[in-house]
Amino acid sequence: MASTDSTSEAATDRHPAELNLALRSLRTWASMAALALLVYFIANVRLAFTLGVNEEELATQGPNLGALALALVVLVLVVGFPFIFAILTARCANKAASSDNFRSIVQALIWSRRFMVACAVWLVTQSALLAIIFALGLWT
Amino acid sequence: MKPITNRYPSASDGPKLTQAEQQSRLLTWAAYEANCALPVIFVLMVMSGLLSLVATPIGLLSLLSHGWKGGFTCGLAAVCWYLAWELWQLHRAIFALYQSPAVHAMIPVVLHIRNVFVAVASFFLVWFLMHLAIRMI
Repeated sequence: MASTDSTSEAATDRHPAELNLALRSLRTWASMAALALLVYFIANVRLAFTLGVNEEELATQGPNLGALALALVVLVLVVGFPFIFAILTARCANKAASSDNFRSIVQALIWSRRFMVACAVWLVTQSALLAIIFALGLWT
Repeated sequence: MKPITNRYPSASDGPKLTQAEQQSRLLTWAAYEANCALPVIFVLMVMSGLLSLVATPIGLLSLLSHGWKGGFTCGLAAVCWYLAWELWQLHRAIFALYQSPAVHAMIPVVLHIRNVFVAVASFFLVWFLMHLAIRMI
């Protein structure tokens, strides 16, 4: 769709070297942010597993499956979206740097905006979850 | 007869645009898209600032009472300050791009977006190290 558009094909004159360097740097750090989000997700899955129970209860009764499922759904929603948006920003920045395509820069801007929206949602959800956990005394 | 294709209207549909005109249109579009991000940047900046205001005294108290282990909370507070600062700089860069769209005005915008990603990656890295330290102690 976008690749067949003659506007994008015609406007492929060389970008300034600084812009290409900045785009390559953006690609690297967007990938790093995606990796960090993945590590955060894996660490939180373990934390969700022990939510609301102590080690002895976990060994004898097993995890609270309802709380575990809810925590996993919330985690996938609030971490999955920024992860996907960071990957897509990196992809568009890479395309823009390698093909001197201005349209890809705009797409990278759009994906990074969605990443920031997802981060804001994550921040609100995380604060609310922590407040609920402390208020209910679920922190073990 | 011209075949019907499923694509957006482009420059070939109307009078042929020069390279400079196309570049100018794309830059205006980029400036518009970047400008649409300003509300969320502002909200994220305020939230990050509030978080850093809360985390800084907690981090300092924790540093005094728990020694080096409290350093992680201080690290989180520092990353929050950095994120808020970068978002403010990004806000300014986007405003400058919107005022006068040019390829060179695009470079600071891309660099500050990169720095936002650096801050977010650092936040999760410090958080993970803190998580590990709590588990190990």
